[in-house]
Amino acid sequence: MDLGKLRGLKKLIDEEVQLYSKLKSLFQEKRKILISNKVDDLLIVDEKILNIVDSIKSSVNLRERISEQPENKQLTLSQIIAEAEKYDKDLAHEFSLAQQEVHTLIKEIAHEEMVIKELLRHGMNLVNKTLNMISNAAAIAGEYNSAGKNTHSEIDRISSVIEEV
Amino acid sequence: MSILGGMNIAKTALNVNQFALNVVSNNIANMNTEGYLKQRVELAELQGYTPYSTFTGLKIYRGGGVGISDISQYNNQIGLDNINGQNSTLSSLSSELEGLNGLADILNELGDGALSAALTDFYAAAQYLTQNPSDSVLRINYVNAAETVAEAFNKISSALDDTRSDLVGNLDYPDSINHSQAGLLVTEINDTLKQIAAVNDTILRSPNGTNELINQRNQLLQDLSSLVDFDVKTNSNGTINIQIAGVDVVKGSEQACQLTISAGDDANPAKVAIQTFDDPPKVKVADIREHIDGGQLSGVLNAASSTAEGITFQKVYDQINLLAKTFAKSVNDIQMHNDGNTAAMAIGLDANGNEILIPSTEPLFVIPADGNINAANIKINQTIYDNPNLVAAARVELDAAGNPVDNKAIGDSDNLKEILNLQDKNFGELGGVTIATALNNLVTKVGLEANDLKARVDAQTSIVDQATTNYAAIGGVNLDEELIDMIKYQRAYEAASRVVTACNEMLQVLVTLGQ
Repeated sequence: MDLGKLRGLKKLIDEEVQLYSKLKSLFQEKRKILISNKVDDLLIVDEKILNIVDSIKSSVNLRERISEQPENKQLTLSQIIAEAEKYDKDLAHEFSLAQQEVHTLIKEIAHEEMVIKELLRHGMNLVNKTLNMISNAAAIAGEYNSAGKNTHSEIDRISSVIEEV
Repeated sequence: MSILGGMNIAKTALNVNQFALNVVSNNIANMNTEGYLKQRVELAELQGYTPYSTFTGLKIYRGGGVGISDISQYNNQIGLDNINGQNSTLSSLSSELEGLNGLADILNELGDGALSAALTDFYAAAQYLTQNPSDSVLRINYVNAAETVAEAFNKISSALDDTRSDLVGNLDYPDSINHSQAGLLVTEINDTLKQIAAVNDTILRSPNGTNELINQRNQLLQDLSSLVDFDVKTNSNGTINIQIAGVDVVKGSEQACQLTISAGDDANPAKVAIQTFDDPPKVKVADIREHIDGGQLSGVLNAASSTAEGITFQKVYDQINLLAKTFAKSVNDIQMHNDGNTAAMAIGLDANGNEILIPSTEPLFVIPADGNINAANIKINQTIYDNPNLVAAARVELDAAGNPVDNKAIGDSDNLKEILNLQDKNFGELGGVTIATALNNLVTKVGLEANDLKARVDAQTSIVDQATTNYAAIGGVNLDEELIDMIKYQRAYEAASRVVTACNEMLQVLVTLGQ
């Protein structure tokens, strides 16, 4: 790998780091939305996340082409730093700083992802149980008059008392 | 993310999950409970902090999972105030309509029915008597017909008395007011105010978890609104103040004043005052009738008042009394007619026991000591009842000394013809119409007013229904709404889960890059 390609890689990695930072911010936003149960906002933030994911995918594909790695074999920053050491110490140091930044992002994004997964699991559990509860209640409650009061009473029908005439 | 950290988040989420399910379960269980407002769990992130730093020196603030920040309630105070205000108006109109329907029934049955028929029979009896004034059977018939008219008036008066007693008690027995509708309403209002103050007190002592108490208080306010109209002011500590007729009757957890009822006068038989609990009490409002527009109490007080607008119980009573007085006085004036030129003559006996005409001195209807005949006291003169010959059928001319100048036969009926003329006589005190027309007008007026009031009650019922539906649509528990919400959540969560999977792939790429 020559110095030109290494500089091109540096530029791409910087762009990826920025995209992951945005992804982290969107994860934080999503966490807040899940907590406040704003379902409509959830769809919007998910769309933004998918757009970022697409951009990252494009950047990763470009990076793979530049680094000329075999298919499904990605170059790691440690390998890149080792390559850079051969041509430019400063550039190697810059890659090293980028690696630290990536480490931080990994921790932070993983954390956000963990919280989001828990919140989703919690929400889905709640929703499923509530759906069961509603379907059970609907069978008992009968017709609902939208005014907090049942219009029909089943008491007479189920009464075992027979009125004597 | 450590395993323990993850477990902690999961644990808090499960706790919240359980609690949220309990709230939903409670909503569904109370979906048919009147006055219940649905509740929602408000979630918030638990603030966590991990006191370690990354190798970059960056401290990571870690979320501690999810917790409950509040159990909120869809308490729409403006909507509730609107319902209560409209409900007060409806209750007042309904009470007035109930009273007016009672009047209409009395007048239709006893006025347009019995009294009108009795008057017709009376004039018919007079007509028969003019054909043969000396016929004792026809005289008895005439007296009986007059007695029937008096009894018809008495029955109306008695029915009106009973109705008024039911509304505001009997002025002759002042204590009866406590058992009247007005008295019972005052007691109910005071009890409700006391309960609201007690709920306020409980709210004050329970800063958390007051939703059930607020539901209870809302229900009490709705109950109160059907009794009397009032204003509500919400205090910063969650309690409320209630004003009736501009006076604070409930101040937070204290019932500052109470309503008292006492007998008034004929125009306003019941006086409801607002006074403090001091000894002696301070009267804040001496008579609230003119200060309140809504609630059953307003309807009952107005129905019994003669100063309120529209047809009231007392106004009908006054009109019936006027009819009785006009009729009896007119008949008595003719029965005892003597204007110096002509005089009404009854049948008496001379020294030999022969029937002759004698000056009429007995009224057909008893004149009470104060001279005021009304529907309650109109009564046939027992002397004439025992001796129908004292009915003055004849009328003779008088000389200057006031003695009869001609000696008409006992078969003369000129005086009775004046009685018959009463049928068509227009009376100024009745508004320039005949007695029968005045009676008919009264019945018609009450009927029309009742119809008008019924239309207003129907319209107001629709307004209350609409306000209640709007309120329930926001705050009530609706299974359909809950179901739609849940399906929406379910789909959003499923979509969000797929996004998490996509993101996870990208995270793996980042992990590989970071190596």
